[in-house]
Amino acid sequence: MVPWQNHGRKGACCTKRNLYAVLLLVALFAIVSGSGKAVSYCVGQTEQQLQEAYTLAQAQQYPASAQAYRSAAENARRHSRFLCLFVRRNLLDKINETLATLEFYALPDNPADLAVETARAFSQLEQLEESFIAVF
Amino acid sequence: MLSSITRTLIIYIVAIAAMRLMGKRQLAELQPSELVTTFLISDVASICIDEPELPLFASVMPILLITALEIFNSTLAWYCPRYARLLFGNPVTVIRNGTVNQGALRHLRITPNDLAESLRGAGVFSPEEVLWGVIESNGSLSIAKKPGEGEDSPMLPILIDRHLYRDNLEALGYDDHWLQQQLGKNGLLSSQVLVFLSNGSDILLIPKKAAPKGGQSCKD
Repeated sequence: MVPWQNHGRKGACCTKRNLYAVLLLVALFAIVSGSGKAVSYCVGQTEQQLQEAYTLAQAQQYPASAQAYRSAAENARRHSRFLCLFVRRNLLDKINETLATLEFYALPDNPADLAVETARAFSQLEQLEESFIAVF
Repeated sequence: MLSSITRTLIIYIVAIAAMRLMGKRQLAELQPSELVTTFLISDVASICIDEPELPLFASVMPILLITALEIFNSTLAWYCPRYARLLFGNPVTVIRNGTVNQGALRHLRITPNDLAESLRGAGVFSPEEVLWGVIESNGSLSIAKKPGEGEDSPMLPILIDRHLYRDNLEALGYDDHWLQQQLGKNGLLSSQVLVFLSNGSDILLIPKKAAPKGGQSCKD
């Protein structure tokens, strides 16, 4: 056999490997894009629920507000199982802890605490989203 | 604890798949860019296993991205020899006809001890036994021993994929004119040559287009 002889399979293999690399990049792009949308959706939904709960508290409908805060916390905990694949677990733990306490502030005698804790929850949700979509 | 086991399993499978996808080249040659790729993959993989705080996807994605980039990079290097030389560097002759090129050693920052150790590793105990010793772009030493009685001289590379080994050409007592003459005889331009080897009496010429079906060997 002539040295360095090629049997015509290497070229095909090289092309196939490149094809796999392209497929890999396409799959990664799809996953990043899909998970970005999913993270935004989950955060957006929790933000909306928080906003609704706080509006109820401002309207002095405290039992309904506490119920809304509880439901927001449960939803966020459910989303965490999926979000932990894409964002740091400590950020999820932080927001879940904050959300879990909010319903107990929905009382007539501490509106200031409720405002502060709700603002904290919004800020933590923002951090959560930032941790996924930030470029640098 | 369970999460740690799951993550280790997933990262293990992804890292093996990534190395497998990059091919045997990644395991055997380890050129500078491949060494960086391997380090990066092993670092990212170990960080993911060590830190359960980190999202799994944040570790899997860089591994797969590095894999794809490495494949594209090596393909580009295959198609573009200039880029390959920029990426991998050129081999440097350190021993010629039994004489050590001390300037090249200084340039490569290789101590005489390193060279002696590499020679011993190749089963050579004196540079005098070496016809041509070269530090490859991956840092390893390759040698062609001087021929024994009645043996042919080893074939030395003269032109490989547009890279001219001028020192080999001159060491064999030839010049550019001779090379052009040899290529002209075969109706080739230097850019059409995949491999051109010579030992002073014989030549081996494999044109690029013929490479997939086999080379062409000819006597001087």
